[in-house]
Amino acid sequence: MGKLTEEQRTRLTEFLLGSGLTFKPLRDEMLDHVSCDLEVRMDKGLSFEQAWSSTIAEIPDNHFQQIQKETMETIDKRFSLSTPFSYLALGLLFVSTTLKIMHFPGAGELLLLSFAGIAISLLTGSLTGIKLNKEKKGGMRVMAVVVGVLFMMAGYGFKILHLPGADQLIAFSVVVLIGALLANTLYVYRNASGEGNLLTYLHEKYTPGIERFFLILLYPLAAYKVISLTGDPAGFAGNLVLLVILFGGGLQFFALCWRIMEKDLTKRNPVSFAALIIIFLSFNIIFLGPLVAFQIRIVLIMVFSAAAAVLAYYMESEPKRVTSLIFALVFPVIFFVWGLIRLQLIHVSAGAVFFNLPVLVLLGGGILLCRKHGPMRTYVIISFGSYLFEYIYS
Amino acid sequence: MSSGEFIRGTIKTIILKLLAQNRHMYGYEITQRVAELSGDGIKLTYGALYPILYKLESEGMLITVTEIVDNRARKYYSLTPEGKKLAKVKVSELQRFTEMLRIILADQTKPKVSLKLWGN
Repeated sequence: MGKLTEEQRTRLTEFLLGSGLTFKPLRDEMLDHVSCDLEVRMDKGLSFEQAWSSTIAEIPDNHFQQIQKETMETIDKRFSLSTPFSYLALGLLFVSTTLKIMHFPGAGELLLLSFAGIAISLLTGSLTGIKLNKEKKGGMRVMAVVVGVLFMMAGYGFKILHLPGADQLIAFSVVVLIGALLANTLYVYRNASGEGNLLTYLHEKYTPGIERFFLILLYPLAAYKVISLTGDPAGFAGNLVLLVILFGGGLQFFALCWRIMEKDLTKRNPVSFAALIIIFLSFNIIFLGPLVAFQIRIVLIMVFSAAAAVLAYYMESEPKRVTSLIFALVFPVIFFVWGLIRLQLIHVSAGAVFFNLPVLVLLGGGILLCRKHGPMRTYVIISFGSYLFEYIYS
Repeated sequence: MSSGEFIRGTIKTIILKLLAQNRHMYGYEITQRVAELSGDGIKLTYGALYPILYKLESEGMLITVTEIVDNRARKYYSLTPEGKKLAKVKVSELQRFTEMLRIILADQTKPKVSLKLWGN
């Protein structure tokens, strides 16, 4: 049987993407299905172009979008319990930040409630996922990540309430997360197919929602940061929400990379494995905060920024976008200069080159130019969140 | 024949039946097998097939294994033990239904003889 060439397959992938098939598992199936269809027609004597025209002509308008919609509705019903809690958490994060801006009481309490919402959403989603997918492996690894996240939130909750033990909770969380991330990376590296991996399977279902969650939070925060700079620069009340985005974004980044490594054998190699370990070690240690020397944290942020940029670009599917290359080059440079400033190796005025309103607008808008649900978009979300965090130092 | 409206309610059973007879199948294979068995009378579209496959998978009736074939991911579906039970139930239900339908349609083809014709 005649086989499609790499170029023909790429054309088909682009057609499917252009038809609105953003859910990768379904797109992969469609790619295989339509490829089979094309190959059978080519075996009957048609050229690729003839086979392409006749196959595409048989597909009604918006057919793939409709399939995706129906498929997502089917899948979403399984995880409906976690959805209301996610939206509740999102709403509470907004209200809490608003109260903080207005200097009204109750902002801290609402922030804690939103953490509780995220925790319940995570727990219901993962426990339901484990229960419904007993044939898949990795329930313990899923729970290890969830426990790590819960302890991290508990730690920051303690910080908000000024309770003792916050640093210990965060340290415990970081240890659990490093262990869980290491175990998952090893599992992905050693196993040929990702189908049986519960963690990446569940993550795939949630990915669009998680990304939406970050973007809904990020853009208002960016606007709020700019507005707050016109008044009292120290009055920005969104740093904790930014931390939620950065932390969640980091975990999202690792899961996206695992999924690509599972599905694309060429991306699963010792270099990507090592890069992932360096990235999640540097990422998690940063969250230890004052438990780690300031200079070390700064260096780790610089390492994370550079290594994650390289890995995100490497993981991107072909054809790679020019915007991705620009981001992969620009963000590490920004954080390298920023790091040198914070380490007092260069003068603070050098930061003005990168930390200014036009750059902020370009970077913020650029997020939307990255491929949806890809590691590069998540990398840019994390970097943009960090950029906002540090924007005050301009 | 405009079979679409008849097929819609039976695709799930057709898929379950095919998977019960085969160790595992992938999407394109299912559509080809259905076309072959029905003498090209039933053509499953992507839209008819995949949402049902995902639904059955999400209900724990199917398990999937992805293999790389010709440099692309191919997802094979097979029945879980619950799926096998469901396949038996659904096939049996559909057989009963088609039998009832056959009787009803056969009955309608008989000439209607009623005493009402004579005013009783």
